[in-house]
Amino acid sequence: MKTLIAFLALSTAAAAQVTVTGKVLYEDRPYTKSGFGASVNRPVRQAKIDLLNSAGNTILATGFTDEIGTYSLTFAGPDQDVKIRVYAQRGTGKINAVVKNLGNAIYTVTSPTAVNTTTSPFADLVITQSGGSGGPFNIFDCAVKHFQYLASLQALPDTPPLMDIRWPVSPPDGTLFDGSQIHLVVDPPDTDEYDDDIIFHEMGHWTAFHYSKDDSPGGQHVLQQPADPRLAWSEGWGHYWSAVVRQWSNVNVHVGEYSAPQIQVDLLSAFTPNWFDIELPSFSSTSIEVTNEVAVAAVLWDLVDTNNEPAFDTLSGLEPDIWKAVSVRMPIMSNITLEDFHAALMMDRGDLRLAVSGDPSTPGIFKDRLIRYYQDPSEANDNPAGAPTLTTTLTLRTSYPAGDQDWFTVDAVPGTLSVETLNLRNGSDTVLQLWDATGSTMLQSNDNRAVNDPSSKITRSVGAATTFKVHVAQANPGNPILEYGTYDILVQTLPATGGGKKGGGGGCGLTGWEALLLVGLVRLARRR
Amino acid sequence: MKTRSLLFMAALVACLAGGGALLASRPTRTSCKPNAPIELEASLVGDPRSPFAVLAKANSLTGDEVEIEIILPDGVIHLGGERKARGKKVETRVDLRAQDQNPRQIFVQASISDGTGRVSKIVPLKIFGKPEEQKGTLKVDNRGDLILDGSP
Repeated sequence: MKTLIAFLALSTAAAAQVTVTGKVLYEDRPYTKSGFGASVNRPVRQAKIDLLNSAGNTILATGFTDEIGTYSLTFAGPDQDVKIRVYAQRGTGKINAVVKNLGNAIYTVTSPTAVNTTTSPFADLVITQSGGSGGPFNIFDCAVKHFQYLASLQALPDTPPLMDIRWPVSPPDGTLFDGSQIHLVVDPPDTDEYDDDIIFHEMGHWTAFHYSKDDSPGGQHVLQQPADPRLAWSEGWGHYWSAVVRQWSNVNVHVGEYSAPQIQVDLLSAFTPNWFDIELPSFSSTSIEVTNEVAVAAVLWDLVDTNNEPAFDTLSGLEPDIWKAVSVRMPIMSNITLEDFHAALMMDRGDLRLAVSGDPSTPGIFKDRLIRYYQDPSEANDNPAGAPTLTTTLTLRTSYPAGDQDWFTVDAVPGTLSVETLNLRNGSDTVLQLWDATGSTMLQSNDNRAVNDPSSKITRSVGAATTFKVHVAQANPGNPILEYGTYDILVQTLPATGGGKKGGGGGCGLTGWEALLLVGLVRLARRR
Repeated sequence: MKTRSLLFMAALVACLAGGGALLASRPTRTSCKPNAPIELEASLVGDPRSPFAVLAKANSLTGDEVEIEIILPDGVIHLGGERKARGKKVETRVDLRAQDQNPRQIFVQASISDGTGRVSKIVPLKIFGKPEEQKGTLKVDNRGDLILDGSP
């Protein structure tokens, strides 16, 4: 009898439980490099959702939407009129993101009218652009995609680092990640809430901050111009992250949502799409070297994309290797540039060195962007002994690996000997030295041939046929920013100019004997 | 002398304090977005309540040709002048008339494109503008969090 009473009591309690279900969607604005297309409704995924009483002052149940935007919320009952409130926020389930305005208010949407729980499943709640909340919920969905992709790369705790996104932010602050918050600008007509490519780019900076290292000095940058290599890495990484998250999302979230993940679109207005392609890459003649952000992005993309180009791009699917380089190897490095990434990747994937870097006779992904991280054909020439003979011009000599010392032999004939480095690339900053035939006495040296010209030049009057050794290295060994570099070297004998023994353009100017003579003359003059 | 020394010390401390404040100020934050290598100027000429004009000038900083375009909203009538122009340094003027005094925006955009990519600058020109209203209501939710609660 007691058992029966207990069973009936439990059954009554169970019967009192009320569960409501429904679905939340938001209005998305798909786009291509031609501009916006027709709006589509997409699920609000992984968002916090509350079930409120009709007055909205009591939370009856709380939960999260699932991958298709549905929710199921249970409370103790009884049936009554209720509302739902959905947040552009989640702090658990390996997702920790919130979208707020600059006033620190979280974007939410509450169903406008209360409905009775007996009508469950409820009608879809569709968050529209015109209602003002479609944009914030699109930003939140980008954050969900970002965290889900991140979780595919590495184990995440239930609550990862917070991604605090602020929209709209007014000028002069731009769209950026400031080390704490992601700011998405509204500078009419440019509003970023539907610019997924840009949103993911900023999330790339967030990723570098929390899982790798970012030493960008910031500042204005132009796609077609060289920049500080640390900035080029940082922005190139952002472009790459944007592309790989969208590529992953195409397979795992909404099939084919992003028709061309390699293209980065920024809609300055509904009819003004800025865009560039990291696969081609765009602006190919300027998208080169370690100092260009498009070149950095193109290199990273070629390591992962399946659309391999003949000859130079033979690799695909290296996202885990890139992630290990970035998240495990690079955080202990300093002044992060593409050089550091290359070194980090080679720590674990030295087997791919040729396909990644190329070499003087083999195409490679880095080499395609004129980034030459391999030894040149004059190697091994790290010492004066056996240094190859330099007769006219040698192009594309590389200072690689870090600290590389290049020695050459020059057999000078009478006249004015001129030795110079030129066509410096990839941040090269040479120091040129002229040594005696044995390589034991330095005769002249030059770092920069002129202000703002880091190439080097030495000229020297030669009275009789003489053998010299020429030494080239990068300035500032242990350079805090760049250590590699590319240069050409040219040796020639110029017609005698008469008069002074030394030509212009560099060198310390005096040999040891000349210096002694000068000191003697000065002392003599002082005595008089 | 002692007074002068004290004054000097005080001035030094003040300078150092000021310098410290300068050093402590955060670096200028700049947008992540690449800057289009274009100089673009656009302005309204005259009063939009009567026939008026838009003057636009663009200058390419890379040597590539820049295309300038004046984009008119519905309700703004084009009376004359070229709405598009192309060159390394371009200038155009269009004469316009507004049908009524409803708020509108005219956009002047300048772009460089080589077929593999496009970079642009855009200048909005408001006529009869009014500030945008914030959508949603600021509230404190049941957990004490500040929310901007909107309607669907």
